[in-house]
Amino acid sequence: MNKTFVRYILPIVLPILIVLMWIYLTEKEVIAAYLIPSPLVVIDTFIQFLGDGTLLDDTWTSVSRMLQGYSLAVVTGLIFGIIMGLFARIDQFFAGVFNAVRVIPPLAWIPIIILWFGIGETSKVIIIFKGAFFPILLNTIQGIEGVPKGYLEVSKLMGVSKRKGLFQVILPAALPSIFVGLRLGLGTAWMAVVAAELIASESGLGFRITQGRELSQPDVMVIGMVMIGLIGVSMDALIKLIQKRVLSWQPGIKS
Amino acid sequence: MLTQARVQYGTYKPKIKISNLSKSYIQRHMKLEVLNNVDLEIQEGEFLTIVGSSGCGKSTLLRIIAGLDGSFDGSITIDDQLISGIGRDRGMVFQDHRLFPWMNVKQNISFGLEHLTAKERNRIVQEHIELVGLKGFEKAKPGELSGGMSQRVAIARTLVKKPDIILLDEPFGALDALTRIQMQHEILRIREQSNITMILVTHDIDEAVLLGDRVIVMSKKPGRIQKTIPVYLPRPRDRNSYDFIKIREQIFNLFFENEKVKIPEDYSI
Repeated sequence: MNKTFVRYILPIVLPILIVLMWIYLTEKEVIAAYLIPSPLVVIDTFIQFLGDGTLLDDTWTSVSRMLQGYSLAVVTGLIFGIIMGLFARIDQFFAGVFNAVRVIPPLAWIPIIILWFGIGETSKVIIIFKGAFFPILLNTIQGIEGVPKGYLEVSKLMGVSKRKGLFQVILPAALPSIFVGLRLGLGTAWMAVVAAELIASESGLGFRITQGRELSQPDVMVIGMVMIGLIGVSMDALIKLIQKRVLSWQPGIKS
Repeated sequence: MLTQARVQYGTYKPKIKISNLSKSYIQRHMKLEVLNNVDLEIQEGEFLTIVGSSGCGKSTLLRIIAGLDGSFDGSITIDDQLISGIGRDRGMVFQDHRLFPWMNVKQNISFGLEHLTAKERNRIVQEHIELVGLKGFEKAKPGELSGGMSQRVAIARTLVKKPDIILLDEPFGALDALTRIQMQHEILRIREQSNITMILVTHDIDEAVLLGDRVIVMSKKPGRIQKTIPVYLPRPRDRNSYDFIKIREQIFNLFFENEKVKIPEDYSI
C-alpha cells in the first residue's frame, strides 16, 4: 500500500497541483490570457490540431529528423568510439580536433552550417548529428578503456581470438557505459532538433512554437512545448527499457 | 620418494624449472625489487603451495609463470621449453573469480572452447559442471551465485581447457572460513581425478600445509624463497594431528622468529 503510494501516486501529485493552479489562475484572470492561456483553451486547440493533422505532421517531421541525425551519430559514434577506445594512438590523433568541435555548442554551429548547407534538411540533420555524436563517442571510449584488466587477462589466458575477445568480452563489458552515451545522445539530439527548427524551418514542433510566438498564440506555443516534453520523456523511457533488457545481468539494474 | 629414485637413475625431469628469476619495477625513479633470484623446480603432478605475506611477490611469480607478465630476468622452462607468453598448457584461477557477468555458468565455462564441435563442447562442459557440483545451475548468471559457487565455476572454466598446470592465486582468499575449508577439500578431490600440476599461492599457512606436497615459504623485500618444506603427511590430512601442527608451527616460526608471539588460533598471516 505504502509502496504503491510512493511509486505511482506521489510522482503525479505535483503535476496535478500545477494544472489545477494553472486552471484557477487563468480562469480567474489573475494571469492575462495573452501570457498564458487556460488549459481548457489549450485542449481545444490541441483537439483542433489533432483533427486537421497539423500535430501529427509536426511531430513526425521532428521525430524523423531526429532519427536521421541520431542514427548517423550512433553508427559513427560507436565506430569511432570503439576504435579510439582500443587504440591509444588513434585516440591521440583525433582527440584534439574532436574536443575543439565538441566544446562549441550546436547553437553556435547553426549559422555556419546554414551558410554551407542552406536551411534544408541537411543542415538540421547535421546539427542533430553534432549534438548526439559526442556523448556517444565519449562514453563509448570511456567504456572500452574502462574494461577491467582482469577480464582481458582471462580472455588472453583462454586463448580466444581478438575478434571473439572484442565481441564477447570487451563490448559486453563496455555496454553499460555505451548505453549512458546512447541515452545522453538521444536527449541532446532531441534538444538539437528543436533548436534547429526554432531558427530555420518551415515545419516541425520547433517551428510551430516560433509560429505561435509570431502570431501571438500562446496556446500553440504551449502545445509545442508539451509535445516536445512528452516525446522526449517517452523516448528516454524506451531506451531505458531496452537498456534494462540488454543489461539484465548487471546487478542493481533489475527493477 | 619417487623423485629421489628418478634423480638417482637420471630420468627425473622437472615439469617447470625456474632459474635465477628476478623482477623489479621502477616506481617514482626508485628501483623496487619484487623477486630476487628465485630458483624452483616443480615436478609433474605435484601440488606446490607458496605461502608468504602481502608484497612478497608470490602473486607476481604466479603471473610470470602464467605468461601474463613478460618482463623479468632469468628463465622459466616448461617441459624443457622456454616459456614466452601465455599458453594453453597453463590455466589460472584468481582470487576475484573474474567470471563474465553477462554470461551464464555454461557460457562462462565454454568460453575458449570454440575449437571443439558443439556436441563435444557440450559434453565436456556438462562433465565439468558436474565435477564442481553445480548441476542445475547451468543457466545461472554469476550475479546469482555465492562466492564459493562462483569460484567453482572459475575452477571448472580453467579445468575444462585441460591444462597441464593450474596456477591458483589465493583462490579461496575472499571466501568465508567454512566455505574455504569446503573448497580446499573440493580442490583435493578434483586433483585426485587428474594428474594436473598445481601451484597455489596463499597467505593461509593452514591451507598451504593441508594442500601442498611441498610448501615454499617466501620472504619479502625483495621476494625470495626462504625455505622449502616438504609435507610428508598421508592424505587425507588431519589438520589437528600432531605432525600437521608441528609443520604449521615450523612455518609460523619462520615468519615470526624474531618476535616472541604465541601462535594464535588462526594461522593466517
